[in-house]
Amino acid sequence: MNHSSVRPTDVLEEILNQYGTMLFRYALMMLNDTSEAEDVVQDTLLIYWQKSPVFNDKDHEKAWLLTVTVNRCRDLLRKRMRRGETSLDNVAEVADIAAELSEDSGILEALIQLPEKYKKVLYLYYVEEYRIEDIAGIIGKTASAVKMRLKKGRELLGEKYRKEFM
Amino acid sequence: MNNLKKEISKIELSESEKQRILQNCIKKIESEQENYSMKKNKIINYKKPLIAVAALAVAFSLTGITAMATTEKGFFRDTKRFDGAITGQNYHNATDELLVYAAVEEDVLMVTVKMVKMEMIPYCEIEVLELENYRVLNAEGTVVMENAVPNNVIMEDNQVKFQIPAEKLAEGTYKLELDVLCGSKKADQDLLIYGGWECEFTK
Repeated sequence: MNHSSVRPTDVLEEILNQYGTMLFRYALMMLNDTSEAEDVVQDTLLIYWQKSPVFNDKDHEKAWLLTVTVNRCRDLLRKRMRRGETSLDNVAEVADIAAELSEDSGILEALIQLPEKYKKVLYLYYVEEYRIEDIAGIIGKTASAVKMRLKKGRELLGEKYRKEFM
Repeated sequence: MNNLKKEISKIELSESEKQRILQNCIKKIESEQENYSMKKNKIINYKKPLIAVAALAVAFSLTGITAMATTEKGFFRDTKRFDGAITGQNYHNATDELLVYAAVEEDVLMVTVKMVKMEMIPYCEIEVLELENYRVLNAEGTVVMENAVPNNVIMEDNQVKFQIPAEKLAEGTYKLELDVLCGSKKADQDLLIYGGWECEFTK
Protein backbone atom coordinates (compact mmCIF):
# COMPACT_ATOMS: atom_id res chain seq x y z
CA MET A 1 0.00 0.00 0.00
CA ASN A 2 1.41 3.38 -0.94
CA HIS A 3 0.61 5.78 1.89
CA SER A 4 1.28 8.89 -0.14
CA SER A 5 -1.59 8.15 -2.53
CA VAL A 6 -4.32 7.12 -0.07
CA ARG A 7 -5.93 8.82 2.88
CA PRO A 8 -5.81 7.00 6.24
CA THR A 9 -9.54 7.68 6.75
CA ASP A 10 -10.51 5.73 3.61
CA VAL A 11 -8.26 2.75 4.28
CA LEU A 12 -9.05 2.45 7.98
CA GLU A 13 -12.77 3.00 7.53
CA GLU A 14 -12.91 0.12 5.06
CA ILE A 15 -11.01 -2.18 7.42
CA LEU A 16 -13.11 -1.08 10.36
CA ASN A 17 -16.34 -1.77 8.48
CA GLN A 18 -15.17 -5.18 7.37
CA TYR A 19 -13.44 -6.46 10.47
CA GLY A 20 -14.12 -3.99 13.30
CA THR A 21 -16.99 -5.93 14.89
CA MET A 22 -15.13 -9.24 14.68
CA LEU A 23 -12.02 -7.77 16.33
CA PHE A 24 -14.12 -5.98 18.96
CA ARG A 25 -15.99 -9.18 19.89
CA TYR A 26 -12.75 -11.08 20.34
CA ALA A 27 -11.14 -8.31 22.42
CA LEU A 28 -14.28 -7.94 24.54
CA MET A 29 -14.39 -11.67 25.25
CA MET A 30 -10.73 -11.68 26.26
CA LEU A 31 -10.58 -8.43 28.24
CA ASN A 32 -14.14 -8.14 29.62
CA ASP A 33 -13.91 -4.39 29.23
CA THR A 34 -15.60 -2.44 26.43
CA SER A 35 -13.30 0.59 26.46
CA GLU A 36 -10.17 -1.57 26.47
CA ALA A 37 -11.66 -3.65 23.65
CA GLU A 38 -12.23 -0.45 21.65
CA ASP A 39 -8.61 0.55 22.34
CA VAL A 40 -7.40 -2.80 21.05
CA VAL A 41 -9.35 -2.37 17.80
CA GLN A 42 -7.85 1.12 17.49
CA ASP A 43 -4.32 -0.19 18.13
CA THR A 44 -4.82 -2.94 15.55
CA LEU A 45 -5.87 -0.40 12.93
CA LEU A 46 -2.87 1.79 13.73
CA ILE A 47 -0.48 -1.14 13.37
CA TYR A 48 -2.19 -2.01 10.08
CA TRP A 49 -1.60 1.53 8.85
CA GLN A 50 1.99 1.70 10.08
CA LYS A 51 3.06 -1.67 8.68
CA SER A 52 0.88 -1.59 5.55
CA PRO A 53 1.27 -5.35 5.02
CA VAL A 54 0.65 -7.05 1.69
CA PHE A 55 -1.85 -9.93 1.71
CA ASN A 56 -2.46 -12.88 -0.59
CA ASP A 57 -6.21 -12.76 -0.11
CA LYS A 58 -9.00 -11.70 2.27
CA ASP A 59 -8.50 -14.73 4.55
CA HIS A 60 -4.85 -13.80 4.97
CA GLU A 61 -5.82 -10.24 5.82
CA LYS A 62 -8.40 -11.39 8.38
CA ALA A 63 -5.95 -13.80 10.01
CA TRP A 64 -3.29 -11.07 10.20
CA LEU A 65 -5.67 -8.63 11.89
CA LEU A 66 -6.82 -11.31 14.32
CA THR A 67 -3.21 -12.20 15.16
CA VAL A 68 -2.43 -8.57 16.00
CA THR A 69 -5.58 -8.38 18.16
CA VAL A 70 -4.74 -11.67 19.90
CA ASN A 71 -1.23 -10.40 20.72
CA ARG A 72 -2.46 -7.01 21.88
CA CYS A 73 -5.03 -8.63 24.20
CA ARG A 74 -2.35 -10.97 25.55
CA ASP A 75 -0.05 -7.99 26.27
CA LEU A 76 -2.84 -6.17 28.12
CA LEU A 77 -3.72 -9.26 30.15
CA ARG A 78 -0.05 -9.72 31.09
CA LYS A 79 0.13 -6.09 32.14
CA ARG A 80 -2.97 -6.56 34.29
CA MET A 81 -1.38 -9.59 35.91
CA ARG A 82 1.80 -7.65 36.67
CA ARG A 83 -0.32 -5.00 38.37
CA GLY A 84 -2.12 -7.63 40.38
CA GLU A 85 -5.51 -7.17 38.67
CA THR A 86 -7.50 -10.24 37.67
CA SER A 87 -9.04 -10.67 34.26
CA LEU A 88 -12.36 -11.30 35.94
CA ASP A 89 -12.61 -7.87 37.54
CA ASN A 90 -15.00 -6.76 34.80
CA VAL A 91 -16.98 -9.93 34.21
CA ALA A 92 -20.12 -8.07 35.20
CA GLU A 93 -19.65 -5.64 32.30
CA VAL A 94 -19.77 -8.26 29.55
CA ALA A 95 -22.39 -10.23 31.42
CA ASP A 96 -24.59 -7.10 31.41
CA ILE A 97 -24.12 -6.65 27.67
CA ALA A 98 -24.89 -10.31 27.09
CA ALA A 99 -27.96 -10.21 29.30
CA GLU A 100 -29.29 -7.18 27.42
CA LEU A 101 -28.96 -9.01 24.14
CA SER A 102 -30.12 -12.42 25.11
CA GLU A 103 -32.37 -14.32 27.45
CA ASP A 104 -29.76 -17.03 27.86
CA SER A 105 -26.43 -15.29 28.41
CA GLY A 106 -25.07 -18.13 30.56
CA ILE A 107 -22.87 -19.62 27.87
CA LEU A 108 -21.18 -16.24 27.30
CA GLU A 109 -20.68 -15.67 31.01
CA ALA A 110 -19.24 -19.15 31.35
CA LEU A 111 -16.87 -18.53 28.44
CA ILE A 112 -15.53 -15.21 29.70
CA GLN A 113 -14.77 -16.75 33.07
CA LEU A 114 -12.41 -19.32 31.53
CA PRO A 115 -8.63 -18.78 31.61
CA GLU A 116 -7.39 -16.86 28.55
CA LYS A 117 -5.58 -19.79 26.93
CA TYR A 118 -8.74 -21.90 26.70
CA LYS A 119 -11.09 -19.04 25.94
CA LYS A 120 -8.91 -17.99 23.01
CA VAL A 121 -8.93 -21.34 21.21
CA LEU A 122 -12.62 -22.01 21.92
CA TYR A 123 -13.47 -18.62 20.50
CA LEU A 124 -11.39 -19.02 17.34
CA TYR A 125 -12.68 -22.56 16.77
CA TYR A 126 -16.37 -22.19 17.49
CA VAL A 127 -17.05 -18.55 16.71
CA GLU A 128 -14.59 -17.75 13.92
CA GLU A 129 -14.67 -21.38 12.72
CA TYR A 130 -10.94 -21.62 12.09
CA ARG A 131 -9.28 -24.99 11.58
CA ILE A 132 -6.93 -26.22 14.30
CA GLU A 133 -3.86 -25.63 12.06
CA ASP A 134 -4.96 -22.03 11.40
CA ILE A 135 -5.51 -21.37 15.11
CA ALA A 136 -2.02 -22.73 15.78
CA GLY A 137 -0.64 -20.15 13.33
CA ILE A 138 -2.65 -17.28 14.83
CA ILE A 139 -1.75 -17.93 18.45
CA GLY A 140 1.79 -19.18 17.77
CA LYS A 141 1.38 -22.70 19.23
CA THR A 142 1.52 -26.19 17.77
CA ALA A 143 -1.59 -27.93 16.42
CA SER A 144 -1.39 -30.57 19.15
CA ALA A 145 -1.26 -27.86 21.84
CA VAL A 146 -4.37 -26.27 20.30
CA LYS A 147 -6.14 -29.65 20.31
CA MET A 148 -5.30 -30.16 23.99
CA ARG A 149 -6.54 -26.69 24.87
CA LEU A 150 -9.75 -27.23 22.93
CA LYS A 151 -10.42 -30.48 24.75
CA LYS A 152 -9.67 -29.02 28.19
CA GLY A 153 -11.51 -25.79 27.35
CA ARG A 154 -14.66 -27.68 26.33
CA GLU A 155 -14.59 -29.64 29.58
CA LEU A 156 -14.11 -26.50 31.68
CA LEU A 157 -16.82 -24.61 29.81
CA GLY A 158 -19.31 -27.45 30.18
CA GLU A 159 -18.49 -27.82 33.86
CA LYS A 160 -18.87 -24.10 34.54
CA TYR A 161 -22.09 -23.81 32.56
CA ARG A 162 -23.71 -26.79 34.26
CA LYS A 163 -22.60 -25.65 37.70
CA GLU A 164 -23.55 -21.98 37.52
CA PHE A 165 -26.19 -21.56 34.85
CA MET A 166 -28.35 -24.69 34.71
CA MET B 1 -21.62 -24.50 20.95
CA ASN B 2 -23.92 -23.25 18.18
CA ASN B 3 -25.58 -21.24 20.89
CA LEU B 4 -22.24 -19.60 21.72
CA LYS B 5 -21.77 -18.30 18.18
CA LYS B 6 -25.38 -17.09 18.11
CA GLU B 7 -24.96 -15.21 21.39
CA ILE B 8 -21.66 -13.62 20.42
CA SER B 9 -23.00 -12.54 17.02
CA LYS B 10 -25.40 -10.26 18.89
CA ILE B 11 -22.53 -8.09 20.11
CA GLU B 12 -22.05 -5.28 17.62
CA LEU B 13 -19.67 -2.37 17.33
CA SER B 14 -22.04 0.60 17.06
CA GLU B 15 -21.66 3.39 14.51
CA SER B 16 -20.67 5.88 17.22
CA GLU B 17 -18.00 3.48 18.53
CA LYS B 18 -16.67 3.03 14.99
CA GLN B 19 -16.50 6.78 14.47
CA ARG B 20 -14.71 7.24 17.80
CA ILE B 21 -12.12 4.58 16.91
CA LEU B 22 -11.60 6.08 13.46
CA GLN B 23 -11.21 9.64 14.77
CA ASN B 24 -8.70 8.51 17.41
CA CYS B 25 -6.68 6.66 14.76
CA ILE B 26 -6.60 9.68 12.46
CA LYS B 27 -5.52 11.97 15.32
CA LYS B 28 -2.76 9.57 16.27
CA ILE B 29 -1.50 9.22 12.69
CA GLU B 30 -1.51 12.99 12.21
CA SER B 31 0.40 13.62 15.43
CA GLU B 32 2.94 10.92 14.53
CA GLN B 33 3.44 12.49 11.11
CA GLU B 34 3.91 15.90 12.78
CA ASN B 35 6.45 14.47 15.25
CA TYR B 36 8.31 12.76 12.44
CA SER B 37 8.68 15.96 10.42
CA MET B 38 9.76 17.87 13.57
CA LYS B 39 12.42 15.25 14.34
CA LYS B 40 13.58 15.35 10.72
CA ASN B 41 13.99 19.15 10.92
CA LYS B 42 15.92 18.83 14.19
CA ILE B 43 18.29 16.31 12.64
CA ILE B 44 18.98 18.69 9.76
CA ASN B 45 19.57 21.63 12.15
CA TYR B 46 21.98 19.65 14.29
CA LYS B 47 23.83 18.07 11.41
CA LYS B 48 26.75 20.51 11.38
CA PRO B 49 27.43 20.54 15.15
CA LEU B 50 27.16 16.75 15.16
CA ILE B 51 29.81 16.48 12.47
CA ALA B 52 32.04 18.77 14.55
CA VAL B 53 31.51 16.64 17.68
CA ALA B 54 32.22 13.45 15.73
CA ALA B 55 35.42 14.97 14.35
CA LEU B 56 36.47 15.99 17.88
CA ALA B 57 35.81 12.49 19.20
CA VAL B 58 37.96 11.02 16.44
CA ALA B 59 40.67 13.57 17.21
CA PHE B 60 40.58 12.74 20.94
CA SER B 61 40.75 9.03 20.23
CA LEU B 62 43.76 9.56 17.99
CA THR B 63 45.57 11.59 20.63
CA GLY B 64 45.06 8.93 23.29
CA ILE B 65 42.26 10.64 25.25
CA THR B 66 39.85 7.74 24.98
CA ALA B 67 37.22 8.66 27.57
CA MET B 68 35.29 10.92 25.25
CA ALA B 69 35.65 8.71 22.21
CA THR B 70 34.38 5.62 24.02
CA THR B 71 31.38 7.12 25.79
CA GLU B 72 28.68 4.45 25.50
CA LYS B 73 25.17 5.28 24.45
CA GLY B 74 22.04 3.21 24.32
CA PHE B 75 20.99 1.66 21.05
CA PHE B 76 18.06 -0.19 19.54
CA ARG B 77 18.45 -3.76 18.39
CA ASP B 78 15.90 -5.79 16.40
CA THR B 79 14.54 -8.97 17.95
CA LYS B 80 14.24 -11.81 15.47
CA ARG B 81 12.25 -15.00 15.36
CA PHE B 82 13.90 -18.39 14.63
CA ASP B 83 13.24 -17.88 10.90
CA GLY B 84 14.88 -14.46 10.86
CA ALA B 85 11.67 -12.41 10.71
CA ILE B 86 11.94 -9.22 12.78
CA THR B 87 9.37 -9.29 15.56
CA GLY B 88 10.24 -6.16 17.51
CA GLN B 89 12.97 -4.06 19.06
CA ASN B 90 14.81 -3.84 22.35
CA TYR B 91 16.93 -1.03 23.74
CA HIS B 92 20.39 -1.88 25.05
CA ASN B 93 23.17 -0.18 26.98
CA ALA B 94 20.86 2.17 28.89
CA THR B 95 22.94 2.15 32.09
CA ASP B 96 24.12 5.77 31.79
CA GLU B 97 20.72 7.04 30.71
CA LEU B 98 18.80 6.04 33.83
CA LEU B 99 19.53 6.58 37.52
CA VAL B 100 18.16 4.10 40.03
CA TYR B 101 17.76 4.73 43.76
CA ALA B 102 16.36 2.45 46.44
CA ALA B 103 15.23 3.13 50.01
CA VAL B 104 12.95 1.49 52.56
CA GLU B 105 10.26 3.52 54.25
CA GLU B 106 7.84 1.83 56.64
CA ASP B 107 8.12 -1.68 55.17
CA VAL B 108 7.89 -0.41 51.61
CA LEU B 109 10.85 -0.59 49.26
CA MET B 110 10.76 2.54 47.15
CA VAL B 111 12.67 2.13 43.88
CA THR B 112 13.04 5.36 41.92
CA VAL B 113 14.04 5.26 38.27
CA LYS B 114 15.03 8.64 36.92
CA MET B 115 15.28 9.18 33.17
CA VAL B 116 18.29 11.43 32.74
CA LYS B 117 17.73 12.01 29.04
CA MET B 118 14.02 12.56 29.04
CA GLU B 119 14.09 14.42 25.73
CA MET B 120 15.66 11.45 24.00
CA ILE B 121 13.98 8.53 22.22
CA PRO B 122 12.84 6.11 23.67
CA TYR B 123 12.32 7.94 26.97
CA CYS B 124 10.25 10.80 25.55
CA GLU B 125 7.75 8.28 24.14
CA ILE B 126 7.33 5.97 27.10
CA GLU B 127 3.91 6.15 28.75
CA VAL B 128 4.26 3.31 31.24
CA LEU B 129 7.51 2.06 32.73
CA GLU B 130 7.74 -1.20 34.64
CA LEU B 131 10.47 -3.17 36.41
CA GLU B 132 10.94 -6.27 34.27
CA ASN B 133 13.80 -8.07 36.01
CA TYR B 134 15.36 -7.24 39.35
CA ARG B 135 16.48 -8.90 42.55
CA VAL B 136 17.35 -7.91 46.09
CA LEU B 137 20.37 -9.54 47.72
CA ASN B 138 21.27 -9.56 51.40
CA ALA B 139 24.74 -8.86 52.83
CA GLU B 140 25.77 -12.49 52.16
CA GLY B 141 24.83 -12.18 48.51
CA THR B 142 21.73 -14.41 48.75
CA VAL B 143 18.71 -13.40 46.71
CA VAL B 144 15.92 -12.55 49.16
CA MET B 145 13.43 -10.99 46.77
CA GLU B 146 12.99 -11.28 43.02
CA ASN B 147 10.62 -9.51 40.64
CA ALA B 148 8.01 -8.83 43.32
CA VAL B 149 5.06 -6.90 41.90
CA PRO B 150 4.88 -3.27 43.10
CA ASN B 151 1.82 -2.24 45.08
CA ASN B 152 1.84 1.18 43.55
CA VAL B 153 3.60 3.01 40.73
CA ILE B 154 3.89 6.79 40.68
CA MET B 155 4.94 8.42 37.42
CA GLU B 156 6.24 11.98 37.78
CA ASP B 157 7.89 14.25 35.15
CA ASN B 158 11.07 12.34 34.46
CA GLN B 159 10.96 9.70 37.15
CA VAL B 160 8.95 6.68 38.13
CA LYS B 161 8.61 5.47 41.72
CA PHE B 162 7.80 1.82 42.41
CA GLN B 163 6.48 0.94 45.87
CA ILE B 164 7.25 -2.70 46.59
CA PRO B 165 6.06 -4.45 49.76
CA ALA B 166 9.13 -5.22 51.89
CA GLU B 167 7.71 -6.38 55.21
CA LYS B 168 9.45 -9.75 54.75
CA LEU B 169 12.90 -8.14 54.69
CA ALA B 170 14.66 -8.29 58.07
CA GLU B 171 16.74 -5.36 59.28
CA GLY B 172 20.07 -5.13 57.49
CA THR B 173 21.87 -3.92 54.40
CA TYR B 174 20.70 -5.00 50.97
CA LYS B 175 21.65 -4.54 47.36
CA LEU B 176 19.18 -4.02 44.53
CA GLU B 177 20.26 -5.34 41.12
CA LEU B 178 18.16 -4.27 38.17
CA ASP B 179 18.82 -5.55 34.62
CA VAL B 180 15.72 -4.94 32.58
CA LEU B 181 12.92 -2.38 32.51
CA CYS B 182 9.88 -2.49 30.28
CA GLY B 183 8.58 0.65 28.63
CA SER B 184 5.30 0.77 26.80
CA LYS B 185 3.37 3.11 24.64
CA LYS B 186 -0.16 2.69 23.36
CA ALA B 187 -0.39 0.84 20.02
CA ASP B 188 3.24 -0.19 20.23
CA GLN B 189 4.92 -3.36 21.37
CA ASP B 190 6.58 -3.30 24.77
CA LEU B 191 10.16 -2.09 24.67
CA LEU B 192 12.60 -3.94 26.92
CA ILE B 193 15.35 -1.61 28.16
CA TYR B 194 18.56 -3.38 29.12
CA GLY B 195 21.29 -2.05 31.38
CA GLY B 196 22.94 -2.78 34.69
CA TRP B 197 21.97 -0.82 37.80
CA GLU B 198 22.94 -1.55 41.39
CA CYS B 199 22.27 0.34 44.58
CA GLU B 200 22.50 -0.40 48.27
CA PHE B 201 19.89 0.32 50.90
CA THR B 202 19.31 -0.48 54.55
CA LYS B 203 16.24 -1.39 56.48
